[in-house]
Amino acid sequence: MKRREFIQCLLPLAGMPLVFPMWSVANALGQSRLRKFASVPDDGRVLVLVQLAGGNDGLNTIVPYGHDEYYNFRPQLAIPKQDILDINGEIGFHPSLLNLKRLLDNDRLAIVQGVGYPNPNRSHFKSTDIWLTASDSDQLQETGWLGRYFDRVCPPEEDATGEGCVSTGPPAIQIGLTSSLALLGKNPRGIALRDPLAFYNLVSRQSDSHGSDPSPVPQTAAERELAFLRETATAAFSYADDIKSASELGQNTVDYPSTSLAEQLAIVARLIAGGLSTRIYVVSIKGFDTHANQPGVHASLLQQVADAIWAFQQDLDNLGLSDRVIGMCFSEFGRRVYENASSGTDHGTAAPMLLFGKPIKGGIYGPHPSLSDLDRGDLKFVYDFRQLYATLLDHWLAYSSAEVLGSAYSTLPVIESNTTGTRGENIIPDRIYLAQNYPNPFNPATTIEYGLPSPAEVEISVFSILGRRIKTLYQGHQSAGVHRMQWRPNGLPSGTYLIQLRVGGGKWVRKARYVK
Amino acid sequence: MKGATQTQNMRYTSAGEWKPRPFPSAANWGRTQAQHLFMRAAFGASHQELKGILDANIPRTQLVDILLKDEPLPPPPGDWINEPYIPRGLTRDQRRELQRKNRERLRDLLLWWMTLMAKTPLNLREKMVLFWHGHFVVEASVVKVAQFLYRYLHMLRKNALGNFRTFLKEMWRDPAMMIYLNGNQNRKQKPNENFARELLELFTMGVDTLYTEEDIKEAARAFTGWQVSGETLSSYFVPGRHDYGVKSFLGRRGNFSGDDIVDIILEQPVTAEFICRKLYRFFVSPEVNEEHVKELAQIFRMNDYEIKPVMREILNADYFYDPGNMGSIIKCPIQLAISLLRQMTPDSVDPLYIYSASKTLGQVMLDPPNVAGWPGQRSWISPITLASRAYFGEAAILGGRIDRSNFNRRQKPIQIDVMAFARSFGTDHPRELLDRWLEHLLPLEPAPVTKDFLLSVLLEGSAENDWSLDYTGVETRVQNCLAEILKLPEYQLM
Repeated sequence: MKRREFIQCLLPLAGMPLVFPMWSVANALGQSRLRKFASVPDDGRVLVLVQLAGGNDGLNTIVPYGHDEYYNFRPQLAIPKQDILDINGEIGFHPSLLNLKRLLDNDRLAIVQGVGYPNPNRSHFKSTDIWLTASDSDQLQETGWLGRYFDRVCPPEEDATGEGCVSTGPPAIQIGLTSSLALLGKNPRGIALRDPLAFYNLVSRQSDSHGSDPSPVPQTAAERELAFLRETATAAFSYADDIKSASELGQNTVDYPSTSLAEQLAIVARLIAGGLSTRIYVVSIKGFDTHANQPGVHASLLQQVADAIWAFQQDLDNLGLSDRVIGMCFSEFGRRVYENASSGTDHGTAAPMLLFGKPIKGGIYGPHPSLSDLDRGDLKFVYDFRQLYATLLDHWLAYSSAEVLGSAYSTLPVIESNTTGTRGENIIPDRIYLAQNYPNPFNPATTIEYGLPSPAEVEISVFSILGRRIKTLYQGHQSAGVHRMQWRPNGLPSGTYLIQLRVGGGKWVRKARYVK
Repeated sequence: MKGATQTQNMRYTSAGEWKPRPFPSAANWGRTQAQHLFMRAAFGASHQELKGILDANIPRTQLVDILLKDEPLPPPPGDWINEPYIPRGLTRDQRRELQRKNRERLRDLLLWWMTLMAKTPLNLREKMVLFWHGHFVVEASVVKVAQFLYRYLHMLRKNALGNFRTFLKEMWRDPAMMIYLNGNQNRKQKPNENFARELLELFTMGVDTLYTEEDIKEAARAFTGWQVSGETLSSYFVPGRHDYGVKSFLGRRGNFSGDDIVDIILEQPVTAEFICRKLYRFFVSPEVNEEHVKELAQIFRMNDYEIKPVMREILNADYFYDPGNMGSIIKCPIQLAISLLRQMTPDSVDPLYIYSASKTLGQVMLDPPNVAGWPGQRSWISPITLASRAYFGEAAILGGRIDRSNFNRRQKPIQIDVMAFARSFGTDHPRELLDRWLEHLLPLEPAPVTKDFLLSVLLEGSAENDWSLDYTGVETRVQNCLAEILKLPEYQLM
């Protein structure tokens, strides 16, 4: 049995008088910002997950109209050939998806066909959990796939509050009431908010912003615990503050449709534009559980999805952010191949998955699942959904997918290999190197850059000039490419320190000078 | 400020700073203390329950005796608890069916447990079960079989207020524990030390105390020879796997059995202290007073490890009611969810809601982070969980949904009848009403500036003397005000 070390997240300020009025709270936050240690690569990349809750009918989304069986299975619900927005003579879009077709035509949409997993589960609850946790269907994991990603890039042992995971704002944001299971690691890594200003109000109330509420030095256990809670509320307030100012700085440049999903994506665009370094956003739209009277409902839902994504893409373009953002639509399952007796469809299995954004290599991936070779009336999957997750982890979030997912999955070439992100991260160097840190000499922080020609086990540490290990900044598997991280000495004396990169048997060392 | 009393003046330091203290109570036994007792020893009480008890003038010691009363053990969650578990020789489909049934049963077991915690009237046992589960940890993800987990919970419940010696002797043979800490694999030919190590380190003596690595090895030998049977759903002894040799353990030598090891461990004063310190942390305060722990340990040993006398002492002790200790414990998610319902809407308790809410906030029964249990207290709180707790409070009042995924039709949003709650205090004056709510929901009195803010939310433009619960539009004000109360840092404490 492995034992996890418990870190009490004692804030360094606990025990200090809480007498500062609001302006100095802001000042104190500025101070605490200095302690942050950004472990997520500062490449500006963002992943937006769009959850289509309820089980989207894949067959009526990307329609296999070239397969006669489709019309046999669905006498009532099949989309007439003449209404279909053709893609390649075999499949085409539902007529509501004109805006997705435009994205495909602009090389910004990837359609990955027949995505599912072995032994599919047809319970909404269970299958959603399987997707969010990237589990096998018979062995549900307790943490979300992105939660595990954050657990590795900024381990909770080093960063109990999750505060230093990214430099501005929380590591992940769910637009909604509660944070997605996908974002749950050893610690929760996502903040749920419906509206940035409401979140600010919610949290700021907690941190005693309604009045100065002076508290003396805590003298009893109860007062000390209350002071701790107020301190933490203040840290939550710093997220809220980041989020609020980002949402005020960022401006949408297009009129989004007035649908819930579009409004959610508008908030995401605003927060990215406003300067949050939040890595993951989750938005959702529900109602896809179309057991009855499917045609009108489904058409409207698809329209909402396509139009919201289209507006989002245009907004990102205008804001100059489209190189940094990709999105992925997913749903817990597709629906049965044959329609039911209520003009609806019941819970099924595999369905197409959509990835969108400028860094996406547009096109159709994989064959359409066979409509004649079915598994008890359901489609057999072509791709495991975890192959998509692996693709995103390895090629977008720059972290070894095998570690996060527990096994190696083959990836798909859906992300443009010449994507540069904002700062040219995707360049693969021809040899291992450790660059001179910059700035140097430095205060309060310096950036360490190194490159790997191929994926490798890496350790990057700081030593004193006498060879004593001060801190291990990173240890683990990393993908090929250029990696950067920040180091803040936090209270160490001025002087020369050694930064060491270890890869395989080799060591690379640079001298860094910290001046107070 | 109008009506400022002597008591209120005492709540300021000489520098004029507000001291967060429990609500003043008429005597050393009053509403504040009774409420404190029920929050800590049970999962909170409604206003009606508290009022009934105070009106009946039941003295404190008698109330503690009521809490300690042996209630009959609850009926099991279903007949399946006695169904033998035999996974061998099954076809693929049969195995899948068995797994499906097992998942359903685990869910039933959890919901059964949530219901017991939430619905058991004012009684200490369920709180003790929560404590012991965090102490003698097993995880469903390792044990897997619902029948074994039910038996484990039954064992906890039966011994929760019994004798710690008997408890330990049943605990080490418990099938779930044997699976969880590899007792099943512990045999003479190949001893497995996992259980022996945790027994000493986490269950009895405490880490880095008077035992050595050698003691762990020797204890492991004494526990060899036991196996778990899916047919009988119990453990049984296999003489051929037991090590009958002489063992030396904590300075003693002999042909010890597992029970002998337990007896020797209980001879160590450090054991009683370790358990009492943990009880103190769980029930009294995160800041341990070692004098009090020593007193409790002495009571524990003098009563041959009966648990009740220790709990009676704790719940009657002056330090338990010390204003500095009241409000010093951070509610764990399960406490947060259940006490909200018990305090505000005791008649509509939905176990699925409790399960989902506490899971969202980071706690699932039978799924602690590891063998050491939930570290508790400050580990529950991060900027992110604190914001989630604020949402939890707001959603409970405004009727939101607390589910993890966006799709879960089985779970209805919780509906608290805020107006029924608001009226139950028998006053219609906004300022008095607010005071009653605060007193009922918070362990510490918030500062006047916070109260003024809450009052302004409750009035929202209307005048204090022209306000009534019967006016139209007042429901929204009541909701908003209660939602703000549940978001206060004070609400996270008990």
